[in-house]
Amino acid sequence: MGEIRLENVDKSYGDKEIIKSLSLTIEDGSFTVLVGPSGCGKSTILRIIAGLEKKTGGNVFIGNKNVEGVEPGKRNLAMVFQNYALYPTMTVRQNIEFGLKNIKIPKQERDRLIDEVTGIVGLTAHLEKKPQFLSGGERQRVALARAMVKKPAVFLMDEPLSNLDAKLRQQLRLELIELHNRLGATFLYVTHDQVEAMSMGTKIVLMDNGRIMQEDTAHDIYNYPKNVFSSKFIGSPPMNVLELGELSEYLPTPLPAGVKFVGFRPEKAKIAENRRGSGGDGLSLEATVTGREMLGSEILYSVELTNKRKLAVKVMDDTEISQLEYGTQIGLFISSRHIIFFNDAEERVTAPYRAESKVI
Amino acid sequence: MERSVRLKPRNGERTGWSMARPYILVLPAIAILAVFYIYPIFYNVYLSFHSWNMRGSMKFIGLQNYLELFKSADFRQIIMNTLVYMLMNVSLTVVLAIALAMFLRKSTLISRFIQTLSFTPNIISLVSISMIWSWLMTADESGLFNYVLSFLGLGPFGWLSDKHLALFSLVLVAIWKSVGLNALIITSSLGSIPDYLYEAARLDNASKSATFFSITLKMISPTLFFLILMNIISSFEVFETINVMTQGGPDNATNTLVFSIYKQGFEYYRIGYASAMAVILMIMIGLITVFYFKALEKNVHYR
Repeated sequence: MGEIRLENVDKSYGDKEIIKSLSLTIEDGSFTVLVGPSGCGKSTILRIIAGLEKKTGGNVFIGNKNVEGVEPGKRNLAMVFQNYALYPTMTVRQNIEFGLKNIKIPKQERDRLIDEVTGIVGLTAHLEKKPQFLSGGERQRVALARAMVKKPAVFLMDEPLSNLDAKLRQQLRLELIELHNRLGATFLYVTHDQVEAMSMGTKIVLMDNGRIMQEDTAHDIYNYPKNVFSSKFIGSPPMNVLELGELSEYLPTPLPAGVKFVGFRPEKAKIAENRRGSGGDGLSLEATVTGREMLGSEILYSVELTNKRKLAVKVMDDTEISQLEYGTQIGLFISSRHIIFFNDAEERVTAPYRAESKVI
Repeated sequence: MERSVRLKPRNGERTGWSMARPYILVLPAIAILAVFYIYPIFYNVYLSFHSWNMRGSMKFIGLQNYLELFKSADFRQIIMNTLVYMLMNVSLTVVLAIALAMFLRKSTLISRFIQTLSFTPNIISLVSISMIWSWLMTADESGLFNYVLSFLGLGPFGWLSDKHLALFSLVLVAIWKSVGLNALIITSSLGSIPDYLYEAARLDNASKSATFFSITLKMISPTLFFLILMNIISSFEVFETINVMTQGGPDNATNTLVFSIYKQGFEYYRIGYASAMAVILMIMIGLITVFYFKALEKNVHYR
């Protein structure tokens, strides 16, 4: 019912091309997250699917039906806006009821549906209040209830949590995941926050500049980035990516063909205080500690290589290497199975001896 | 602790200058209010109990002026004229202004041109407007309206000489003058309605009329509330058009309170009688305003 298929969708404003021939299938019942830097076209895609924005070319199918020319309200979807877009003149009840009234659902049925959804999102006590008297979290719940009450096959969410404070955001993240499991509808969620994307999405679609850079599960997009953009956008701090030419002490053999960049996650580097790390197959580097951040369970060091190149290294707190001071000379060792290679087109290439092995 | 102590004036200063200062500061405003508003109101009420021709001595006659007014059929007609004029003027001006504003809200070249055009009457003096419209509405075919209508085989109409039409003709002039300004104010209010509300409404399957009544109209309700009140008050104060175009005629059909007060007071020098009418006008405006606030304020959504 709720499968969304985009075929060669284009969108441009005047000369400015926002989306270039984009094709994407969003599976029925999935929690798909569109993530990317601002201006990458993710919100535009959402609005094209909703029918609020006209595409320049291509086709959009919702539940196998081409929705060309179909009004937004008739597409069997509901949308939750970043700023909630609640009707300020209406009470919570009227806000939720408006969409039902418009499709002429009888009063009794409306009341039953409103009771049901407000029970789920915990708004029963606020039904007769106007939105301006609600907190940010409560407003977001009204927006959710307004979407849910229509029982759509598809929920579109445009950065719905970005106006909330960090704690509330985390709580609502969990509630959204629960809600998705409970409703079984397709969720398409747009965000620029990679943490949100990683924690919520059953599938992540990473976009940049109107194109899809990678489409994968959270696990795979983190561990097997398809390109440099992917490796740098996902993960905090991002993957360390070095040019092959910058490395004098490069060890592992054999190299896959056409390698130009070498990357590794900050937590995969092992620190050895006696400069040279352990031997074995991998990458050894010499570095100086230039900064230390306490993240709670982990410590984030920023280190500098001999060629002044800065890297991030993450280690667990309460180990002997968690108290390194500024200026300490250290050795870094990254095992070759944690090293990711990219060619000069910034695409990932796999080392011949470990091709397709996904064991980390 | 220390901070709150410092904010309070010390006890020794609570006399003299610091006590008097706020009253001295508001004195100029209060003085103007007292001399030009409060005193005249009371003096007007005082005058309404007297008989006076502005020259001779004043004679106290009690409620005589009021009794005469309530017995007069002309006065009942004047009150009716005033109310009918007010209702026609307010409803037509506001409805037309909303329609015009809805049309003008898209900022195209044409809409900006029309906006300027519709606003222009506001900068012309009402007396000049009245002269022009007197000619437009001349009863025979030398008036432009009747001349144009004659090609359609209609008329001629006695725009200002037909007692069933004259009051409406005056309303027409008032609308022509004020609809542009009203539309301008409504347009700016429409412009402050965020687009996402309309997007949400589209997703909610709202029809055009549901969108208009449930979103647009409600969002501009504070502006409408204010405009209607302003229009009610200005309708009660109508004078120039009547004075230039009809002199209250034909057969008292366009005689309104303010015009009649002027006539009685400054042409017939019946100051007491005119003052009694002014008191009634004041009470009417007061009552209508209070009623208006009570009836409509709960429907207004302030952001």
